[in-house]
Amino acid sequence: MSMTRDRRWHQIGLGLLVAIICGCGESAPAPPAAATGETATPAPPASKLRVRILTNSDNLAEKIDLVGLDSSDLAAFEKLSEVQRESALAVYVVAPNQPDPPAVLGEATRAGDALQFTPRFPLAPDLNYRMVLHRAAGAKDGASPAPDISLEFKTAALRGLPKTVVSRIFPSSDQLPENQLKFYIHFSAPMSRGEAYEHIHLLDADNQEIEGAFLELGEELWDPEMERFTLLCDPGRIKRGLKPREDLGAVLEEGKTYTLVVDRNWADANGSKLAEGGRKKFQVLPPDEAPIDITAWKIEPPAAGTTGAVVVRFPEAYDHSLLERILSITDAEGEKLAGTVEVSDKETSWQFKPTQRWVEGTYQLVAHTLLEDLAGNSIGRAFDVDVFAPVQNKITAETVSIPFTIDKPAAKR
Amino acid sequence: MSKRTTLLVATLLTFSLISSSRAADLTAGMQKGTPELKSAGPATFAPQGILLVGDTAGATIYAIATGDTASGSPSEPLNVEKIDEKIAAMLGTTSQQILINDLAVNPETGNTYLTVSRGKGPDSKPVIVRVDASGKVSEFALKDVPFSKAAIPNAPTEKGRQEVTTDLQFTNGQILVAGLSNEEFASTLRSIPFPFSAVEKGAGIEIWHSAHGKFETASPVRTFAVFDIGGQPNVLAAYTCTPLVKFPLSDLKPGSKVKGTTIAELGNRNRPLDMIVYNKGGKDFLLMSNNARGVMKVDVANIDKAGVTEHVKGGGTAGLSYETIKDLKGVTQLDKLGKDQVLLLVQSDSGALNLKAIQLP
Repeated sequence: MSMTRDRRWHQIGLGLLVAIICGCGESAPAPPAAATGETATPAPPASKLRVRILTNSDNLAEKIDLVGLDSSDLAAFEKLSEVQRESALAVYVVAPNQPDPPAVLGEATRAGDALQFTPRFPLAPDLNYRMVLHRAAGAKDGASPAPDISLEFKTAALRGLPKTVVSRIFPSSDQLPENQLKFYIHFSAPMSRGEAYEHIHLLDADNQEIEGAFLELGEELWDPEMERFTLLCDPGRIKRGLKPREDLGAVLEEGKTYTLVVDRNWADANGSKLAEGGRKKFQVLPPDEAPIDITAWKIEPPAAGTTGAVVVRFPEAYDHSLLERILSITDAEGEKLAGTVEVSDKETSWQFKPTQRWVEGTYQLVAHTLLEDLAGNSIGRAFDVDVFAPVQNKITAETVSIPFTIDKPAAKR
Repeated sequence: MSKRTTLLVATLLTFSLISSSRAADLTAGMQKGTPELKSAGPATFAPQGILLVGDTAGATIYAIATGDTASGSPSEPLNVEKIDEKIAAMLGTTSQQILINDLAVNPETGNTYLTVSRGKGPDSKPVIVRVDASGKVSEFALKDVPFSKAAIPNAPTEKGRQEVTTDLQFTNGQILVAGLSNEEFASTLRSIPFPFSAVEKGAGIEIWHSAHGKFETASPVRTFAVFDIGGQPNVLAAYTCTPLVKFPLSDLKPGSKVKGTTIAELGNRNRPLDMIVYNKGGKDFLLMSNNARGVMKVDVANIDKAGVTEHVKGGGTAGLSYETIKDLKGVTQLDKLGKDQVLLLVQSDSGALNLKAIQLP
């Protein structure tokens, strides 16, 4: 839908706005002063003046017109320089705690029978604004400054917005290692940044909140769509040998039960609270301090001539998001196959379904060594390494591969 | 004029020519236009008024020649109360709908630049706000400005994956960029030559640290500063898991694995947010904002000898000595302002943000 076709003039009736004609304009920056002497131009009757709002496809105000002005006001405005126009026609946010706000950034022009203000960003919904024409800027030389025209208006609230909910929390398992590193919280719609940690709670079996459980990062870790939040348990309380863990202990304790709670007060991208929060109850297993061992993976290849899925089964759950992108299948020439990936069985199984039928031959399951298990151990490297422990087989390559073959389907009897 | 003097003058002239040509190099290659930032995150200044901005959403570092000139010496320290509300009103919204992501003071002029998000969702818009020495707040319009940019090397491109730039600093012709992935828990410090080169893209460096000599681990860097130790530039880095670590800048070679020396452990629940290094009365200090302990002043006099190998019990810190400036609470960002002051972005008890300059402690 084109923007032009979707635009519509939204007129605010006089009943909805307060029109104030005054000569004071104390709350606005002073426009270029004019000489005094002649009688001031009277303001047009208040009944003629109104604000007209042009909204965009999201129903946000993107242009605001002041209509009902006398032709002398329009002509005077047109004689102003660009800089003077921005001083002459301004919009301000009306906030009780801010008596002298700066003008909203934007451009002022004449548009037909109106003076038009185009804010740099569409105005916020459901908010009070004041539009002011500082008529002194257009006063003739020697004339007294005319009284300012000031009209308040309110932008429309956004309606019919989808209700956002917590849709999934990963890991799926209700049994997690003591050194669990990450949770992924998925939402049904985009969320807002800046208040995440106020709305995430870790409760013990007595519903008491555990303080300092998570790494709080001002930037917050989101996917680009802001529908998935990455929550890290405080690594200082996971990694062995670090002071926070030695002083406070690990966040989770083996054998105990906890509940991760996402409360409903978290605002989505529209500023609306969640329709439904989320809860994840889990039991704690012993810590997992071993690197991922790919020799324990089981590959179940489908038959040639089909588009069946190759299934890879793991001995433990791995990181859901990494599993979705970090494994791939290549053919004998090393070319990556196109297809779809599915992670299932509480992140202990990975399936790949090719878009083309399987051809007999040798293939490789390729895994990036960045793959992590639930405790942040990756392929060939533990999350933290005990330097006095026997040397493990270190893997320094970026990827590792496991070959498998696709055979003809078994002959029917 | 003796030959020796002539030689000296010629040498000085050559040096000054070299330095002026080097100085000119920083803006050379920039193009005038509108840098299309998708987001404005961490910011810092390179010489000649060049503002460096990390754009997490665009996985890009922007270098913007601000053309900033000094706005006079104020008679009183800079103090802008409720700066978030002022900026929000300017952007036509409320303070609940903006985020101030970072502040950077231009050391050559004393003017402050704030990176701001208008809106908090995925469609939020980046804005750069300038605060002059008198406290006047205005937009620094990203229009018709000389700028250059560099894509963050090996930045994630896969669906869902994003790397947050948590800090960046300019030093010795390079921009150091610390990042944190929203998927893998990996260390992603990068070094990018500046002025940007089309050929050299820099590379990730794996940063490790030890824990009491018993464990070693790779960990993302949260914030860092560059500091000379014995004439050699060193990186002082605060990790997400609390140790404060040093390593020589010269160790940062693309693809290398660097193991830093832990010089202090900050104790429980400390989350370093931002840091600067400064000299006062001939002594060097590190000033670090920290969500648990307010602002910490760390004496780095013995930094060349510092190294934590033993655990100190009791919830305190180990390694370099420090003091907590208890009066300074809620400091989220800081930067040096002139020779004697530090500029703080402080969250008050009411939640409003104040920009406030104080004497360096």
